[in-house]
Amino acid sequence: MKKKSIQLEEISNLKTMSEKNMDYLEEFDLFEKGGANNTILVDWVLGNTCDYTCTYCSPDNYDGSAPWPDLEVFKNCVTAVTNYYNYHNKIVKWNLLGGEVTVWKDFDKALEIINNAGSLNNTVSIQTNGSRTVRWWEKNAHLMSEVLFSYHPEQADYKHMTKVVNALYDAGVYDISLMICFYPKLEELCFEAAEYFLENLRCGGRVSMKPLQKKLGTGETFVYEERVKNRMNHLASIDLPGRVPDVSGDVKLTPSIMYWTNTTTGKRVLADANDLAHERRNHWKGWDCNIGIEKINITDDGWFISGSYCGQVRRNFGHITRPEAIKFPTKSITCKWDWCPCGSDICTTKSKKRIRWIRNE
Amino acid sequence: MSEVHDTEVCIYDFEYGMQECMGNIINVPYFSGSWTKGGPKCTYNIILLSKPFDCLTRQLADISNHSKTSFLENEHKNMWHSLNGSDAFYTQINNYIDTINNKFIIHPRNLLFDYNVILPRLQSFLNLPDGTIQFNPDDYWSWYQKNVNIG
Repeated sequence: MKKKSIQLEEISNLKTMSEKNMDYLEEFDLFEKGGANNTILVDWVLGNTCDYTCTYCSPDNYDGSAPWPDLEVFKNCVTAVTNYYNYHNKIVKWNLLGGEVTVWKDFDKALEIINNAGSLNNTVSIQTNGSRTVRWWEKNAHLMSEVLFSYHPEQADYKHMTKVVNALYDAGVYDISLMICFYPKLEELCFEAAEYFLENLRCGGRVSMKPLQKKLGTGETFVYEERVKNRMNHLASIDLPGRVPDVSGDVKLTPSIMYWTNTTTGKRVLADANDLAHERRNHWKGWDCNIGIEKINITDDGWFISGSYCGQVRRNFGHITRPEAIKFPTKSITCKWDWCPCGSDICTTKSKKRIRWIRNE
Repeated sequence: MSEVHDTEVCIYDFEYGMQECMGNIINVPYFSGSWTKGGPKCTYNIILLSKPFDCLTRQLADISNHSKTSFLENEHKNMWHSLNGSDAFYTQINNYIDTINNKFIIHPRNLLFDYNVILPRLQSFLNLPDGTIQFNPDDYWSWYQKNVNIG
């Protein structure tokens, strides 16, 4: 097998990219998925219309310049992607993003299309601000496997969001996450919301406190005082009271946990994508990355790329209007980024192997 | 723990899966060990860094060929919850590996593309004569596709 090598200068700034120590890059040689290995994550940015216009968000994410896809195009694309991966025994985990996807008038029909596609138990998760009515969520709950709510303090009503989450839980959607976009200027409101969620949500899991990037995709977060960080960490460590009920039937997917592995000593340590980004332990420059194999992305203008952020510098391999011509990636790539800013890009297998080859030469 | 007889090799995996494949590769008698049930104290110990959910999935797939009971589903579900994000689970395995002397660790993924480095070292580690270890990369790839990263 021919070994690929990379130029030394590509990795020569590993030690200068972060003020934090980079010992983990020496301690581990593999960053891998613990569960859900039989899945392919398809992140699809369906459009960029949003009912919120948050200060810290880029207009690209809410100004409506990228329209929702035509439903027939959507259907053909979903069918082609699902059939391809199901044929290769991969469960497709559709992750629908916006904008705010629930304001698309055909969104319920789109969910039905995904639910009816393919031969395996494919799943659909959505990322939402939860602003639609409780009635809308109850009506469509049966079409969702997983929902990630983002609480945006400038515009959202945390009491409404609590009602929505509890309604979904009561309707049988148990895989729910809730993330507070922690805007430092509204610190007290964020804490107030977190405490309300912790007291009133019926679902399980935790309320995560997301440090916001100053500008999406830059990796640089707002500065949080130590006391604020401590309080955020404390609230994020509290378990919500609910649990997955003991209902009959099998769990569809194993958990998407990640861990660091040292393949020489056998040591494995769990890793959380948000923590890695916050602690600046998200550097894999020069490592081999399975982006495109474990995860692909469809942009709001319909192009297929490998990852959410790193894919932007990679060649498009298809378009939703020509699903028959998609060339699905089959090979890993060498990371050329100084940092990996996106949680779902982080959660793909990465191996130091190629660096080791260089060191051995 | 079992008593050691003429077998000096133990292959550790999670609970179910890769020992047989590795046993065929090394081509000598071996004991099987697991993180939960332990293993005999052998002179040579091979640690397979497989993934717990692969082992669970293989176990379920195999047993479900014979019987489908709600017990298995519940057991699977319980494991799913107990392992989900559990630091303690992996700490327990790390500590267990530390207690094993004279070990050779193999990650199934590395064997795919580094077999020409790993297997000669393994043969030397086991003090086996040249040619004892039989390995066909194509067969392994075929096995890998069916048994690794499935859970």
